[in-house]
Amino acid sequence: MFFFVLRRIVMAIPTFAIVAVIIFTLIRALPGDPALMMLGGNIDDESTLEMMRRQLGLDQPLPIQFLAWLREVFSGNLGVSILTGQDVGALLLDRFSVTATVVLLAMVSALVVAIPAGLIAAHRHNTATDYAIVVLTILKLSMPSFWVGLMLLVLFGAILGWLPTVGFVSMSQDFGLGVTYLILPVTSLALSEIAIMTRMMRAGSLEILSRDYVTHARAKGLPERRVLWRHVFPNAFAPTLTMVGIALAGLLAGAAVTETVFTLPGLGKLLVDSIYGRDYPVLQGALLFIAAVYVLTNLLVDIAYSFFDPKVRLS
Amino acid sequence: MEAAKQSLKAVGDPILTIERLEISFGGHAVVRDVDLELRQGEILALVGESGSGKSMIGRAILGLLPEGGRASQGRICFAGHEITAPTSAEELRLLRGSSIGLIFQEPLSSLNPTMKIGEQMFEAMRLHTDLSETEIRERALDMLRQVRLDRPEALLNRYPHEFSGGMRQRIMIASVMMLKPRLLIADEPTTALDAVVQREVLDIMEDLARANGTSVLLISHDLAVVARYAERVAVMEKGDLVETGPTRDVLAAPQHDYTRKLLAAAQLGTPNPIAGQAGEPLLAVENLHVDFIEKGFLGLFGGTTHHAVRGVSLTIGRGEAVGLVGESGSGKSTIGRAICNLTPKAGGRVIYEGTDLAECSAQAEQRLRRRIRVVFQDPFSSLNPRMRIGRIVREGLRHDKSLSEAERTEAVGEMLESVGLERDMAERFPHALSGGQRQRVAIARALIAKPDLIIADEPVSALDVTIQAQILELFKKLQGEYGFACLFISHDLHIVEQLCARLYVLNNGRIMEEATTEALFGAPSHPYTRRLLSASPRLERGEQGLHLAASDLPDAPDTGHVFFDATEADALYRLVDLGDGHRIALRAST
Repeated sequence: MFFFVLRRIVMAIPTFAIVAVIIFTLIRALPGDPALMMLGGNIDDESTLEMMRRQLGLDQPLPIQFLAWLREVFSGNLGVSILTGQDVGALLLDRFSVTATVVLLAMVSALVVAIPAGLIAAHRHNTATDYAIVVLTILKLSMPSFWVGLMLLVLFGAILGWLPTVGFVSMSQDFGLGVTYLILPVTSLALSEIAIMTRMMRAGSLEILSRDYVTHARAKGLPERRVLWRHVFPNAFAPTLTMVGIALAGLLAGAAVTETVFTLPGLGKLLVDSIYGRDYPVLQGALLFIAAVYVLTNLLVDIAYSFFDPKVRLS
Repeated sequence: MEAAKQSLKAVGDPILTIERLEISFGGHAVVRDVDLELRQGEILALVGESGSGKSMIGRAILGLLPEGGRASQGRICFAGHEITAPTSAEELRLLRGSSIGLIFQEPLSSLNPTMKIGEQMFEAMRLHTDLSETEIRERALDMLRQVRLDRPEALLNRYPHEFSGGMRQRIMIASVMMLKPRLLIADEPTTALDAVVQREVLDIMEDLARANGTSVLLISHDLAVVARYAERVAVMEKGDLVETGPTRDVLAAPQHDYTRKLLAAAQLGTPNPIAGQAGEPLLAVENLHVDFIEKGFLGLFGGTTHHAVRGVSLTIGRGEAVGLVGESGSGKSTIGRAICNLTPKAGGRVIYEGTDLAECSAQAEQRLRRRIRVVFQDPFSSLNPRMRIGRIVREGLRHDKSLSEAERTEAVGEMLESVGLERDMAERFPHALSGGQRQRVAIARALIAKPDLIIADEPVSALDVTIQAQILELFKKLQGEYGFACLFISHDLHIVEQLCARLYVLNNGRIMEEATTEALFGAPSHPYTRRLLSASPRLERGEQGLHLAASDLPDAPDTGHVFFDATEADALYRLVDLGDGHRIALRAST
């Protein structure tokens, strides 16, 4: 186990190196002069520009610039935002905490619903229960998630007036109020994930239910509940877990649409804003941070995987 | 032992009664009008080909028919419980495991891969008994010892994939017999195992059943295998029970045609060895080594090397059928694969018609390799499910640019006919064919280019006994017509005896004995060969009809040889010629 984790961490190093190179080149390839951008965009004075470039290190050859940037990144300094002057590292962490709260809550509630729903649908294969679950998931899958978010806002925010529609209050400031701001975005995200994962879980369980060891578990006289929970679930969950990993990494990297619909100050919104505002230090930092989130989430999912598939544990 | 069987047979009322049972899926009956009785402590063999409905009867006794199936008529009564009309689902559930145990065919798929062995053994005990955790653990350990597994304490914390098929099946038996059921349903318990392991597992199962007075319903397609264990035999054909009777009577004087057919298949006919032409061998393998390397940490710090084949040399003459025999894991299939370059060699040479395949040009090598074709074990996975039969067979001609489309189609039609299939089967997909038909397709694909050498890797071991006999007959017939040489790889000595003139017995990657078939069966010298021979059961024709051949060979004459034992892999190995090409592996003195 220890070696498995260590190996995965070692394998992440080249991934980061490549990501860093790509981010650096892409941003340098963008049209526009960062120095000009920093000075407000309409400076004619060549010497001021020159000074700004020197200050930013832009007069150095590209490889040197890259190494200088890497050195800063390694020492934990991601620079400051051009627009607000905030420290990029602190800004990212602040925004990420919002995204992470929403996404993790949504994912946990999705799994709590989807796993039993998928198992039950498979167990009652071709009965009314199964059909009902399948129809509901298809219905949800065919609705765009931003539209569902908007409808939730209209219904619970505007018409019923039960929940706030705009903004965000951190749960650490005011727990009760913070929760009310989270309910709608979490529900909206969770609904999409429930639909996908119920279907994954159902398909996986159907396959496992036909396996000999399930018949064998029944032949031991085990109650259905135990057969489903101990023999079907751990085997059927593995493919769903892969999906969870992919979805989780994607959402943590910024649920941009949901964050925009619910005006949440999350990572996705930060990314969108920094692109519009040509806020290069924030953009660079955010992209690097997102890469790190991806690598870490996948590592965690792989470790979780080994709990469900003992064959993975050896390799 | 005969006396013991007789006395057990007479005891008590039936524990299981099946009356006029019909099992149907939708409107289609797969089992019709079956009557069976099983007494306390009796072993009854239920024999039939795949699709005969024998497994469905086993499932119905547990009330666990697959989805869509139901016992549409008749009744099953077990120890006072009406299985087909239970008072509650709970009544059936409590019988399962505690009173009726089930062992499945596939030890690879009947254990849950995500649960530790111990946990899988304990859970049923917890449910059906009031024993404490420590007592349950003790019982499980005791049971694992009884199925002759070493160091059972260590086994409990391991997962199924860490064990071989034979070990898993023994674990399975331990976990089922631990609850001391009154009835054991063993559904093809050893079909997936090779002969030596099969014998061990069935012996263990019989011992445990006899010790506990458990009745056994032994379901199998192989009469010869079950004949050794069962007091009575019931024969199923396509859903009907065609014959029931004491094993000895059924073997000696079968009443029904189908039973005779099954018996004929189990005898496999008279051996018809195919000797090759003298002179330079068609293929010679010299000092072949194949290693498998398990990668270590990060793939950097070396790894463990597993020697699958260690210095094997063999020759195949033009038109000769040569057998390569050994248990699973002996390296026999690896040799076949290495000859075809499907597995990289760690050392040694493959010489085809005097040309070392490694030394000639790539083009020449390719041209020579086209003269070698392979038939694989599993006809279900060796045919591409998305290609029509005609295209599969035609692929064998792909390299031959001189043929026109019409000629190719004609060749495919002819080939299908000569393997005993209809020409219009070319339009079908593999899933529409039975196992035997698929294997015929695989043979047609190999033969269509008229190769000099066929490497047949266990071509019949995935098939029912009756089909095995047919495919072997087909091989013999085609060999006569086409005159190809053949390397026939199998774990069953009696199958290779059918058509091979010379045999190589392989164990742990080394040749243990090499001789003409006649010499090997006449005077098997190496202990390993003798073990293989006694493991696979055989029916013999005696004065009173068929009976089970004596399985224990007479003692080997004491020749004073110190035989090489493959379990001591580091001992010095030497192949010694006894004359006439009969070679045996001895332990070399330093």
